[in-house]
Amino acid sequence: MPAGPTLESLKKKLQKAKENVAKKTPQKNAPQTPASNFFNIGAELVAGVFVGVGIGLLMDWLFNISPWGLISFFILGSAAGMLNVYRSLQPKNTDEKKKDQDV
Amino acid sequence: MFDPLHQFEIHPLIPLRIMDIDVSFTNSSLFMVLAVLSTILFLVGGIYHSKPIPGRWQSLVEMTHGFIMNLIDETVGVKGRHYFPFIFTLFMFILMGNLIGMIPYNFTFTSHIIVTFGLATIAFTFATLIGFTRHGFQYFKLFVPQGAPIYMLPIIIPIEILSYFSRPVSLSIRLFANMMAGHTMLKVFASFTILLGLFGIAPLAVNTLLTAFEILVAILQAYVFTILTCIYIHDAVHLH
Repeated sequence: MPAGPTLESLKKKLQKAKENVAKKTPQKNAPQTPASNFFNIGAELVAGVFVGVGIGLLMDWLFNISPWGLISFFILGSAAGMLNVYRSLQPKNTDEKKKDQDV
Repeated sequence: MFDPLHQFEIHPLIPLRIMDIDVSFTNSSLFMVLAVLSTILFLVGGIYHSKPIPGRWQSLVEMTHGFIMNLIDETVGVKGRHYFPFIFTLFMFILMGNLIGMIPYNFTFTSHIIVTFGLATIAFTFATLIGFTRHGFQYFKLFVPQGAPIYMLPIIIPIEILSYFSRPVSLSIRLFANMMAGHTMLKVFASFTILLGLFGIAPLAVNTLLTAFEILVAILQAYVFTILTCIYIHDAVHLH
């Protein structure tokens, strides 16, 4: 058998190196600048209202119930937009959740 | 005067009409084709003469591949690896579109909301289809939050459904708004430089910094679009 690093020792080395890298990079979240935050939160809120108004107008047009579809779906859409904002601001702890789901 | 929005105009290069629908090959289409071709060039060129010890180009390709694979593993889990081709294609297309747009005189096709909305709709439809093929009608459980009292459900379910349908809209607005605002800002500062003559050096300095910032935004927004697609696929695969 030729002398030199065995597969086992190499594996151990690699494992150690990976652990070191993991220690150095504790959190891997998307870097957040104020500008990107502004657009992200704004987009979430606006999207909810847009979809609500869109569906409301569609309901009005389909069932001829103007303006009640627009009114009710505008309110629901605004609520959905705020829900989106709330969800996007929640800290992401997907790492822990995944561990018990995928193993 | 300088029109900062002039850069977003669409010009048909090859006028085409099929059944009264305008399907002209526009400058936007041209840059989409360029984005696809440069992606192919980048990926195939990097691995064409692949070696066990990669050179610069090859390791760049491998790092891009590994980056997206890692992203999928982190957000969706190992089950998400089936969807790697789709997610990688989406990422590379948006990334190349954003980066090609950073070269002066080029057109940024991601600065048009219809393009980003089309991409977001594809991603949204894909995630929804995954949900329905994996869970069937169980997928509707996504709209019922865990632990909600029954008498609140008539209000909560419509809100959840609207929130679900607002995903592609918010996804597209985010990408489009970032790209359009950034490019408009660059153009405004560039026109200041010309108007101010010798003092134009100040806006020129700002523009230099902004260009660097815009390259960051270009890469970041491609990443954000991809990670959100991954999160939607995660919801479709795992249900809650």
